[in-house]
Amino acid sequence: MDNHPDHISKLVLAGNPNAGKTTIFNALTGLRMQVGNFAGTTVSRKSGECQMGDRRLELIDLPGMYSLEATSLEEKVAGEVLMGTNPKFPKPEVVIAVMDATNLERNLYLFSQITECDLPCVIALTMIDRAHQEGLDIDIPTLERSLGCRVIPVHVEKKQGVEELKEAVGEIFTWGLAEYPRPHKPSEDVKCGVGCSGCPFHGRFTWSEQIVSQAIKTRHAAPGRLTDSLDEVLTHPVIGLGVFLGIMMLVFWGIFSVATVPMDLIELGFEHLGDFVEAHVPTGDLQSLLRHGIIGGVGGVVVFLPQICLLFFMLALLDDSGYLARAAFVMDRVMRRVGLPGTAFVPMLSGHACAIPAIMASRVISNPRDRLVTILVLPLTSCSARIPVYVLMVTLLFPSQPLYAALALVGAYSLGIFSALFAAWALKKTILPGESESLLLEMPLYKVPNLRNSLFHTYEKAVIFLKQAGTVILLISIALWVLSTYPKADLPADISPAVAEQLQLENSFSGRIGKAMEPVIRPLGYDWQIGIGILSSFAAREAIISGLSIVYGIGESGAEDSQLLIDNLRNATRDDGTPVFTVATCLSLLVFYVLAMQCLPTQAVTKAETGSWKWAGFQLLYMSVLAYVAALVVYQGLRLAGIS
Amino acid sequence: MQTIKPSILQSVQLLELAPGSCCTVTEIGTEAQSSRLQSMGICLGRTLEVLKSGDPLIVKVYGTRIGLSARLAEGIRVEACQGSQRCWEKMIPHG
Repeated sequence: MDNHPDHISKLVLAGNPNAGKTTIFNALTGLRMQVGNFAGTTVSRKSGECQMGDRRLELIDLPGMYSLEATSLEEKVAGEVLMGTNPKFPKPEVVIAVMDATNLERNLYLFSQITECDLPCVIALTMIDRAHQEGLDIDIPTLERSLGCRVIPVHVEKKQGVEELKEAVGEIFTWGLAEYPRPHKPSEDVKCGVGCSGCPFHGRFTWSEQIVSQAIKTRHAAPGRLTDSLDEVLTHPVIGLGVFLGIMMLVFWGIFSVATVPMDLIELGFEHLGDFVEAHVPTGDLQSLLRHGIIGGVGGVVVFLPQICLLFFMLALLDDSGYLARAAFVMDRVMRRVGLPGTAFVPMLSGHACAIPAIMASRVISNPRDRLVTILVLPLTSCSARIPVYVLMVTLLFPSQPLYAALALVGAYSLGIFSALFAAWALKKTILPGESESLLLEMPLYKVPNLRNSLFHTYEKAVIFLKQAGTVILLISIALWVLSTYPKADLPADISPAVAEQLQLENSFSGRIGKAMEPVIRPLGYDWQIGIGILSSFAAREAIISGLSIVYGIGESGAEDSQLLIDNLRNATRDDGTPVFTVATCLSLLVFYVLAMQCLPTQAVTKAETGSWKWAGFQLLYMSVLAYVAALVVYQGLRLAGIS
Repeated sequence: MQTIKPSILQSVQLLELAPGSCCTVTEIGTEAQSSRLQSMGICLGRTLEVLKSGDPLIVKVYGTRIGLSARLAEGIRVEACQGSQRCWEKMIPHG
């Protein structure tokens, strides 16, 4: 079967985390890769095609693992693939074992288990340059003899070894998969030898040490003096925390300054697209669907793509440099108080840009409970889509007191962070009990981050995000458009377009729901117009602004003139003549927007990452209740205090 | 009278060691019976160097560093290494 010309053989890359698998994967496949999940799991699966000799192969990058015993979801899947024990994942035909030359003793532990999978195998030996710096000289032929397996030193940056690796894999197919000699298995003694007292680890490590000591000619120093000195500072309980906060501030400064340029361009692009549709599609429902439903809806989310890319790019650089493990280390002590591991901090922080990539980034958390709690609480942190709403409310509250305005903004952000931590603590005490998993993480040697790998990683994430935008977010946009467009109102002929928009929205399903909601939201200080605004926020929160400008009669285009909008809102009155946007209403609305789950795209990602709508539904429910109660307390409290 | 055992035979908790200490693992207690910990190299008979004490702590094993919480480390008992060899020379083969 494996000689059939159409059969694409499956090749897997297996190795410890941080052993350099990604670099090898990228060198072998280039950008011809597909990203997704292993069937039925939320474990990322990356595969790509590569040409080796006259063969086309599918290369699959397995999640990093320390052993074939499953200690995390990632390791479980990787182990099942290698052993061929899960019918959903076909057993591969060849394994490339990626082994770090500077840490060979531990890497060979995994290799000793791979030998038992009965697969043809080639070792790619990485970190060769660093090994040379340490004066580590490995005798490759000796290593090959003791392992019974080809060992190819690879240094991708210098383009060394990649071709040899391909040739070595090609050789396996020339021999024939069944005939190619398998690597030596460690003896039964090794698996649980003399004096191992039931400890299967001891024997394998001793075996591994023996193999390495035979193959090493010289070694001048243990690796990582520079790492030790840097760690003195970066893992310090106080200084380390300070450095971490500094670095994160830098990352956010990048996101909010650099990313605005491409974001403006994307916005402009979607505007032009909308204008193009307006010019070439006859006025009517089709034009409105294309322009407001699809282009407006998808555009409102895709505009965050630059922020998302920049965030993932900088996190990839930090991860590749070895720093991210230190960040998790110093944050662990802080996060554990609310029942979360240190690794949860980066996703929580990313939530301040956008909850969608943040939820995607929570895959770094290995324990399923910890990951679930993080996903559930992180949309409470203030994402960038809330900024326009915050700014609008703060401007209404403090038009000419910049200090108070700034304090109110800081307050909104702090409320988000505080409630996320509080929610994590509350979940721990109620439906998701248990301690967060004890910290156990490898802190790799520091190195200059690999730009190419980081760019590839960013590209992967961008593809995942755009797939979401093209499917789920598109459907949500269309659904919300239908709600605000039908049923049609009977409009008199002699009214201005702005009034027509206003009457139409009032008459639509959204308008009717908004009006029906009024008794419920009245205690928060909102009228039915604000209700409609809140409903329109479900595509993305900033949509409340165009929603409000329509219901207050200045038309959708009015939203672009912020002064006009603010003046209009300030002058808006209720039926009894009292102003709508009082201090109490504005503050209540601000608190509501900090806490409420009003982002269906996020909900779709929560479903994708937790594997069920149940948790997305729970997230919507608890955040809505939290927002409602908090806004109620604020509004009624202020009224009782005589501030209205 | 208290008998004084040669210090090489006394096992202590990994948590008790100061940074810079070199030791060999003699016991992995139930708290630390995690196969992840052991497959990362913190298992019976391995030589460790404590790089940072406290909670969490950092130990060096082979060519790598592992950060772990004190809760996990509680179950690990070790024997301090004697002799003039530097810790990494005991830990890893060096030709």
